[in-house]
This record gives sequence, C-alpha cells and structure tokens, in this order.
Amino acid sequence: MPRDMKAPIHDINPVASIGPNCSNGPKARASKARWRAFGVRLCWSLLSVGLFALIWEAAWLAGLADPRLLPPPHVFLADFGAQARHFNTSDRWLITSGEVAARPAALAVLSTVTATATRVLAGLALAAIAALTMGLAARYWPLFGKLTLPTVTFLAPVSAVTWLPVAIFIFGVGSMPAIFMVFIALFFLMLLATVSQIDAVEAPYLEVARMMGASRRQIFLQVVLPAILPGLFVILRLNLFAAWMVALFVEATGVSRGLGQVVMLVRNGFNPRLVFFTIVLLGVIGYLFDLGFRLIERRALYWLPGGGGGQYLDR
Amino acid sequence: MTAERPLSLACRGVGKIWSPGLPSETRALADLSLNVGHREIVAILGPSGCGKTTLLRLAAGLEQPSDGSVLAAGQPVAGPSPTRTMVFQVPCLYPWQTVWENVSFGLALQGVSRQDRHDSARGMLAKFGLAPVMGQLPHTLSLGMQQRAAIARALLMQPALLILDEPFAALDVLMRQRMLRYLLETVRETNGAVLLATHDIDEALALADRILVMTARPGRIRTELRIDEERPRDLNAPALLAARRHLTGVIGDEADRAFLEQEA
Ligand SMILES: Nc1ncnc2c1ncn2[C@@H]1O[C@H](COP(=O)(O)OP(=O)(O)OP(=O)(O)O)[C@@H](O)[C@H]1O
Ligand SMILES: [Mg+2]
Repeated sequence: MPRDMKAPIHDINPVASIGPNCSNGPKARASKARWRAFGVRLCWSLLSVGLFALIWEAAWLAGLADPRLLPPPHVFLADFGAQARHFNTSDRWLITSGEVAARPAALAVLSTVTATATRVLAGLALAAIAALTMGLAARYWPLFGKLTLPTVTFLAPVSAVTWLPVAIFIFGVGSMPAIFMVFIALFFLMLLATVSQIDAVEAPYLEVARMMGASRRQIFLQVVLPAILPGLFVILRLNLFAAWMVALFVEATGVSRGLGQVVMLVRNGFNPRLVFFTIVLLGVIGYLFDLGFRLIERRALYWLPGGGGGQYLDR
Repeated sequence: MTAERPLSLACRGVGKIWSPGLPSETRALADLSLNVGHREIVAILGPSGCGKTTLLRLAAGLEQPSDGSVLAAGQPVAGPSPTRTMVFQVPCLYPWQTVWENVSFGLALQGVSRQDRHDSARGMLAKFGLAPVMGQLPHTLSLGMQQRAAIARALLMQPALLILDEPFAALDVLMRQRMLRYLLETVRETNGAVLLATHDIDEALALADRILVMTARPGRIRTELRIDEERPRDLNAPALLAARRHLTGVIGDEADRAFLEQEA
C-alpha cells in the first residue's frame, strides 16, 4: 500500500455515517468515541478482576481461605518488597555487580520483565517478518517454494522445545538462544499460514489487478500483501501465548535469566505469595501485550469494517 | 461499424468446457460466433446459466476457450488487458483502498502521480454521483454505489472494449436509466465498444446497437436483432415494442428449455 500520507488531498474517512459536509472534525470525533469505548472496556476489565479479588478477600474474611495456602490479594501484594527479591535474576545478569542488592524492588521486577518481554517481542517480530517475506517469495518464485515448503511442512509440527540444544549450540547463553527459540516456535507455522493465506486470496481481487495491467510484482505487493494481512495478524495474536511459553521455558532452563527463572522458583519452591504475585504479574503483562497488539492492528488494518482488532468478539 | 477498423471483438466457433474430464464437466458454450464492431454496443440476453458470464470472461481474457478463437482488434486474446476491462456481476473493490483509490488503481499501476489520479477519479466519480463518498472506504457504500464505482474504475482505463456482466442488477430503475445515459456518454467520448450481458430486455433495448439472444446451455447465439432507433430511445415506440415482444418470446422459449433440461 503505497499511501503517501503527506499528500494534500482527501483523507480517508473510515466512519460510515459521516458525510462530506460534516464540519466539526469527523476525525476528532471518531477518535474521541474510540477513546471512550476503550475507557469503558477498561472499566469492565477492572470491575471483573476487582469482583474476583473481592470474592477471594471475602472468603479469607469468612475463614474459608487459609492465608498460608491461598493468601488474598492484599496479603501477597503488600509483600511486594520481599517477593521482588526473587526477581533479581536478570539484574545480576544485566549488571553483575555488588550494587544489585541496593536496587529498589520495583526496578528488579521491571528489569526482569523487560528482559523477557524484549526477547518475546524480538522473536515475534523476526518470525513475522521472515515468514511474511518467505511466504510471498515462495509463491512469487514457484521453484523457491517447491524447494523450501516441503521441508517447512516437515519441521512445523516439531515441538519448539526440541530445538533448545540447537539454540545453545549456536548461540550459547544469553538473550540470543531465547529469541531464537521464540522465532523457531512461530516461524514455521506462520510461514505455512502465510502461504495458505496467499492461496486463499479471492480470485476476483487478482483478476481485477490483471485487467488493470498490474505486473506480477505489483499484484503481490499491492493486492496479495494487504489481502493477507488481517489473517496474519490473527495468527500472530493467537501465537503470542506460545511465544511467551517458549521464552519462559528457555529462561527456566537457565540459558538466559529472566521471568522464566522466577516461574521456575514458583514451581520448585513452596511460596504461595510468590506464586500469586507471579500470576498477577503474568496476567498484567499478557493484558498489556494484547492491548499493544490491538493498537498496532487497528493502525495497520484501519480499513477493516469495525476498525479491526477483533472488536466484534469483544462486545 | 466502420469496415476499415478491426473488430473490437470477434469470437469464431468458440466452445468452453468447464472442468473437463471431471464428473462435474459442463459444456457452457458450443460453437459460438459473434462480432463486436468498432464503437458498437452489443447486448447479450439469455436465461440464467446459459453461459453469459463464461462468454464475457473469455472476451476479457480471464479464461481461454476450449475450442475456436477469440480475437480482439484482430489479435488473439492471450490474457486480460486494460484495453478490455470487465465489470463483474458482483462489485469487487479492494476494501483497503478508498473509493477513489480503487477507481484510479489502474493509473496507480502506471505510476501516475497521486494528485493526477485523484483528479481523474473525481471527474469520473462525479458522473456516477459518487463524488461525495470518494474518500470513504468501500464497505461504507451500498451495493449499488459499489457497483457504480466498479464501472467508473473500468471506464477510467478508456478501454477499447468495455465488458459489463449485468452491472445494473443492484440499481433501482431510475438510477439504472441515469447510469445507462452516463455510460453511453463516456463510451462515446472514449470511442470504446461495449459488450453487455443482461437479463433485462429493456436495458438491452435502451442501450444496444445489436441484441444477441443466447440459447440454453451449451450457449450459442440463437437470434440477432439490430436496433437502429436514435438514442435516447422511447421504449414505447412501436418498433421497440415489437422488438420487445419478439425477444420476450425467444427468451421465454430458451428459459423453458433450460428449465426442462435441469429437470431431466
Ligand atoms: N468456474 C467454473 N467452473 C465450473 N463450471 C462453471 C464455472 N463457471 C461457470 N460454470 C458453469 O457454466 C455454466 C454457465 O455459467 P455462467 O456463469 O456463464 O452463466 P450465466 O449465463 O452468466 O448465468 P447468470 O445469468 O445466472 O449469471 C453453468 O452451468 C455453470 O455451472
Ligand atoms: Mg452470469
């Protein structure tokens, strides 16, 4: 989509009901409405979580939930300072100096989360770009497709976890093996998905382009690419969870330090406060990732009816 | 039709078999011949399923005939080309482009600047009453509006042959008449010929220089009727009333045959 936003002419107007003579900024109003919708959704999310926490607290008050096994939110959240100690893993890895102990608890949590999130994002981005490029190439140059796709089909079902030794052989320890593993977990599946999306592009789209005199290259870049983008976003979002699991798994094995090590502590130790603290943390991260994704999607797929971002299922 | 000019379209003994060799094998066209002259408007009438769309797709170069040959401007049709643009039965606009970007897509492919594209699209869209919505996305338009935009897109290429597959089915009667008028004007300006498939006898009578009636499947040309009235035409003129009666009879006959065949 070669869309030159600076060109001084007609803007896109994605809102159906607003006519051309509408004077006071249809765009501004649309964005205001969108923010309001976002606020409403956030309120419901908070209410939902709050309700759940409330039931838990009530159970604790009534003596139904043993605070040693099922510490209610106010207990494990109040213990933030003590639990954050466990998050020092990535600090040690990042700084390797004596001042680690002096770092504030919040910073320890933040740097650990950032280390893992960065790996997830890097792996995701690399996998998405590589899969898209290679998928298009496999259909643009049929010979290339014939040479590569069978191998990809063969490798796609192999569990990503199996690749861990390879990741270590190639990259040793640190961030790289984790990024590589996230990449591997997503790349093959996304490549196959890209190819099947390309094959599913509606024939009339291609026929119109051919009638208008489009070259093969123009068809791929200006018709096929935008046509498959919505499907690819869906696949990317569905695989977000898998990407996190793989990153946590790699970190848990000790290859790279990060949130995964905390999860391992959670699994191996008996510390209910840390367990629930970590669950809350992972929940918040997941929510933020999903939110970020929707925002990107809404930007990239502004043209989808309903504005993209899976709005239909949400309401 | 001027004799020196090559025919805009010539079909010679054209046959088309869909999915040959499969259980679903269908003979859509058999030994069909027709000509469309320079600047001529030819309408094709026929019962549903007789192969009108198949014929138009062959003319556009989107399919190859199983038999015979299809020539455009004297050359065999090897594939689609901007000189023969087709408007499909169902409007097909790119949902990721605004209406005017859709309409000027052919120019974009040729590297025309955005400002020039915008101007040409505006001119064409204004004729079809779509200037106010040119900055909107296609899904915000009604089906009839989308179809008008698709016609505008095909016309903007100034094709030597414009191929229309029941393009006005989604429009109301008054809108249909207007569209026909604008269509005629624009085609006259660009010296193009038109091949139009339709169910609607009045549409054919109002528009065409020549009307061809197809037989039930496998389709071939059964009758040909030349209409010499001046345009705009009064459909209640005696000559046209007679023509309508004649066409209604022939088409009814073919529709009955098509129906009986389906039952058998
Ligand atoms: N892509 C295809 N593959 C297989 N068979 C096809 C295909 N397209 C059309 N046919 C068959 O060819 C025959 C003619 O179809 P066609 O679409 O040309 O009819 P039509 O005259 O345009 O009908 P309508 O007026 O309903 O649009 C039908 O029997 C149809 O089943
Ligand atoms: Mg048809």
